[in-house]
Amino acid sequence: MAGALLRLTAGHGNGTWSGDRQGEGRAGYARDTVSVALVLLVSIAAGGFGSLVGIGGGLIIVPVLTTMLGYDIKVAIAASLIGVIATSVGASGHYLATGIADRRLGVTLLVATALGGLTGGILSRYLDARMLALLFGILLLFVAVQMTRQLRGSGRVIAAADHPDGQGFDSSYVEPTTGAVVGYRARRLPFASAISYVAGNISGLLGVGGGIINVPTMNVVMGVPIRVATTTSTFMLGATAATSAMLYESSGQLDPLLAAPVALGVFLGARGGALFSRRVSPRQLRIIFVAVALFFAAQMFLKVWTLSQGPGG
Amino acid sequence: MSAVTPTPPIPPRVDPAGRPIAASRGTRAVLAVGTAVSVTCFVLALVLEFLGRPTGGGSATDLGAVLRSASALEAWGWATLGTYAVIMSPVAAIMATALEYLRAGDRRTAWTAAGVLVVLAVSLGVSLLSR
Repeated sequence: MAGALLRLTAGHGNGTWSGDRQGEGRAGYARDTVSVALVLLVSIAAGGFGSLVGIGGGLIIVPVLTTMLGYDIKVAIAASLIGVIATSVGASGHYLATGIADRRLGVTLLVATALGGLTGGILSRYLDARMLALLFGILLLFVAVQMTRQLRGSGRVIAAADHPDGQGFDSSYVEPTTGAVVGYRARRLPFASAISYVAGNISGLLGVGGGIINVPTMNVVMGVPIRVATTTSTFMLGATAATSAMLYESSGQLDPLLAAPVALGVFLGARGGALFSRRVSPRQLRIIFVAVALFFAAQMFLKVWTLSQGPGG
Repeated sequence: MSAVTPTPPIPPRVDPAGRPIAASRGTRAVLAVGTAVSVTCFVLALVLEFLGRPTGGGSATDLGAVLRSASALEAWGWATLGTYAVIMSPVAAIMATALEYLRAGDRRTAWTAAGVLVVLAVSLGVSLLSR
């Protein structure tokens, strides 16, 4: 119903293929001001909602562009990657200034994450839309399950080390709510790097930030406080997504005219979401997100089925 | 004349492990500039698109075409410039990070940041070669 309404509203901007630009096979969609405004508004909402529940906007923007506005999934993923970078670039400066983001840890994990982004970007060229939609649906289901576990309080969280002993990735930050200096020690770097590589792969393949994997990895596997994990992950996302975005651009799937409203919308939405974050109940938001993720997972699986029924499917 | 008391040297900031903490001013400046430039380009692109000037197109790596489109006040040129700015911002931020850690004497982290730049360079190389 909602999809049909949006398709009607989008008019001929619903991803109508306008043919190759200069015969180079580049992404190009006919659009009107209504559809551009719609993409902008959807991106603002996705960025705001993503920021409120602690995920990037990509998990919402890709399914919306694909299942509701009719964009090719690879074009949607490429535009989403630009949104991911914009959000990271816009927020990281503040996180570095407050000293909460652990830049040294972030740079170290970035080697694996960026390698993952490179692999994911290359791999995306060989996977068809059906496979990408299937993977995206599975990712949404995974995220919905993770969020449900967090709602039930079953997520295992390792407390920060009180007395770092000077070995490995020891660091500290000032907790803004209490003013207390919190020390911690990041552990299991090789294992965490391996998981970060997978996160980079998922980011490059599906156009999401990868924070949904990086944050629990740093928090649960490495024992880094959640506030440090989220801010450090945000710092890492920009370079990870940039690695993949270059590859999408070269394969003609990055449409700057779509990327502009998506990036601007997600960026503005994330800023707005951060302002409202103290006024809304995180629990209620997470419940809504689980419902939204399950809805879009179903939409993605439906798309897989539809594509399978099509010519050559 | 009063005697001037020499100012004691300010000890370098160190983390709990005793490693010097690199300043992040350069990285933050790069990120702020990247944000400002990309947001400006994207806003301009959207305004031009709403004014009915979305035309343009071609390869985004054809800098001449991008600049011609931007100077003709076409949305495509400005959107592409914004995309360039967004993609280049984290690359420049990692460069600044590497330099800041090098200045702070933390060579290991500086080299690690250089490793990230190598991965980004490989990605750029692959994308240019696979056109």
